[in-house]
Amino acid sequence: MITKASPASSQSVTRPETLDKTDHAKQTAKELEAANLELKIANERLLHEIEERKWAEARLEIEHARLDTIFQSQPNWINICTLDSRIQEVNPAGPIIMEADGPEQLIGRSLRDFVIPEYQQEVDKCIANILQTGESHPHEVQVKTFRGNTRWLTVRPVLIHLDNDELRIMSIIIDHTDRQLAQIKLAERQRELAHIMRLNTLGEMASGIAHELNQPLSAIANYIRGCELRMQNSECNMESITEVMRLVSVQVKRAGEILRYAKDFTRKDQDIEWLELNISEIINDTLHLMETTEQFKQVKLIKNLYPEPLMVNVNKIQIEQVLVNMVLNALDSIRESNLPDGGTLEIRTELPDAQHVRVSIIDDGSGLPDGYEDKIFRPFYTSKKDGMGMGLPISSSIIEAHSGKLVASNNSEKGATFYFTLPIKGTSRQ
Amino acid sequence: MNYPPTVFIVDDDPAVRDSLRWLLESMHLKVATFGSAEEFIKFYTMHMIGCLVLDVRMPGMSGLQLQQYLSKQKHSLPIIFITGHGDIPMAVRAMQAGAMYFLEKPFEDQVLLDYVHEALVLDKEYQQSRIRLTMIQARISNLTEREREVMDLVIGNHSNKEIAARLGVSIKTVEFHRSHMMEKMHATSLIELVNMTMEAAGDE
Repeated sequence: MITKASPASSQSVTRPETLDKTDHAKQTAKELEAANLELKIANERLLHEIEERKWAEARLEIEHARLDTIFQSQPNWINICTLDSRIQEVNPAGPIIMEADGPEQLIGRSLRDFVIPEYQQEVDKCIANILQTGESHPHEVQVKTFRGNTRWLTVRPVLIHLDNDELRIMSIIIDHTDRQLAQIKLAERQRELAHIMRLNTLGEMASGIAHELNQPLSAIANYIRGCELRMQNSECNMESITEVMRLVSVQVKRAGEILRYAKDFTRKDQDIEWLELNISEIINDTLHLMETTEQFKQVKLIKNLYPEPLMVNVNKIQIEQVLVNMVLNALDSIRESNLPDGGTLEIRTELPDAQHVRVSIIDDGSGLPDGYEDKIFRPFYTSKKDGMGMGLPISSSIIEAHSGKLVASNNSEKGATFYFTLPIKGTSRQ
Repeated sequence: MNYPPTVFIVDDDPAVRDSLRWLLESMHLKVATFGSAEEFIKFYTMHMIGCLVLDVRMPGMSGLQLQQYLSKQKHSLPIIFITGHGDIPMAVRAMQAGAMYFLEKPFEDQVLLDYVHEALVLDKEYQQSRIRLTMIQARISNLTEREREVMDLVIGNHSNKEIAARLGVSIKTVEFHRSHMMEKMHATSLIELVNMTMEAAGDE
C-alpha cells in the first residue's frame, strides 16, 4: 500500500507555484494526499475483509456440506426433535429403518408413536430426564415399523443449541435388530438342544423307569388276583377287600406319578418358563425323578441342603436337567468303581458369598480322567460306552444362560465333585 | 420244631411285598414278609420248611448275594427270583448259581402259584436231608477224639492193623474204639459210614 502511494507525492513536489500560494497549496495538497492515502488503505482493508468473508463462507459451505453428507449417509437414524419430541428433521436412515415411504411420514411425529406399549413409559422418562437435567443415557426400545415388523433400537439422545439459542433434542438411533434376532435364534436353539438332551437322558433312564413302573403294576395285579381268588372261594371279607381296593388305588396313583414325572421332564413348552423358586425344592423334585431309577436307590444319599429357602430365578426344567445329568454321571462313576458298599452320593447347597448359591454333587466313584479340565466340557467328548458326550456341554451352557458357572474337579480322596453356582434372586438378574 | 411250610417274601418295595402276601394268602399259604435280605437271615433257621420269593435288586444285600449266602450255609431253600424287566444277565447269573425259578415282572400269578407249590414240595424233601444232616453232625460231634481218629482212618480204607500201627496202640484197642464209633454213628456197614461222612463233609 505504501509503495502504491509514493508516485502521487513525487508528482506534487515538481509543480511550480508562488510562495504564499505555494505554501497554502502545498499544505492543502499534503492534506489531500494524506486523506487519499487513508482512503486507499481503508479500501484495501475492506477488499481484504470481503475476500476473507468469502473464504470463510466457502469454508462454512464445505463444512456444512460435509456434515450434511454425514447426516444423510449415516446408517444410523438421526432425529432432530423439538422439546416436545416432535421430529423436525430426519436423515434417510430413519425412513429406511422404519420402512416408511419417505421422511414426510416421520416429520412432525414422535418416536414414542412407534414404540410398542411396554417401552413407552421408558421413552417418556428419558425425555423428562433430558429436559430436567440435560443428562441422558442410551436406552433400548422396540418399535413397530410402518410395515408392522418389530425392530430393536438403541436411542442415544443429546440436547443441542441452535444458532438462535433454541434447544433441540438430537437422537442417534442404532438398529440392532439383526443382533437381537440372532440372539433369539440362539436361545431357541439352546432350548431345543436342551429338550433333545432331556429326551436322550430320559432314554438312558427308560429301563429304570420301566422297572419302577413295574412295581405298582405288579402290586396292583397281585392285589386284584388275590381278590379274585378269594371271591371264587367265597371267602369275601368285605372289609379286607375294601382295604385292598384302597391299596390298589394308592398304587394306581403311584404309577401315574411316575409317568407324570417322565412326561414333565420331556415337555417342550417348559423351556420358556422362568420362575422364582427355592433351589431346595428343585433339588427335591429332581431326586423324586431320580428315585424312579434303580441304581439311584442302591447308593447312599446324603442331603446337605441349606436350611433356609434360597430363591433363584430359573427355568426349572433346565436346572432339573442339569441336576439329573450330574447325578447320572455320578452314578455311572460309582458303578464303574464297583464299591462294596454301593457308593455314596452327596448333594449339598451352600452360600459361597452373599449373591450366589452353590449346588454340589459329590460322589466317591472313579473320578475324572487325567487332563479332564479341557476335555469334559467339549462336545462329543465322552468316557462312557454309550454316552453321547453332550450332557456336560449342554449343562454348562444352561448354567451360563442362568449367569452361573459349572465346575468339575476331583476330590482329594476319591471320586469327583461337580458344582454349579446361580445368582440368588434379586442380586444379579438378567 | 415243627414249622408249617411258609413262603418267605423278601422285597424292599412294601407294596409289592404286601400284595404278594395278599395273593399267596388267598391260596391259603402261610406267608412271612421281609423288607431286606438281612432281616430274613436273622429270622431263618434251617429247620423251617418253605421257599423264598426274592427280589433280585435290593438296596443293601441283593437277591443274588442272599442266594450265595444261603448256598454257602448249605441252606437248600428253593428260591423263586422276581425281577424287573431287562434283567437277563442277572437271571443268567442266578440260574448259574442254582436258581430254579425266575419270574419277570409283571408275571402271571398262576405261574407264581405253581412255582410256589412246586418249591414247597421240593423243600419238604430237602428238609429230610437237612434233618439227616443235622443228625449225622450231632453224632460226629458226640465221638471222642480217639474215636474220631479211628473213623477218619477207617474211611481212608485202612485195616485195623494199619490203624493200630499208625496210632501206636494195640489192635484190640482199635477194635474197641471202632465198635464204639460205629455204634455212636448208627452205622451198620463201612459203606453206610462213608456215605454219612461224605454228606456231612459238604457242610464243613
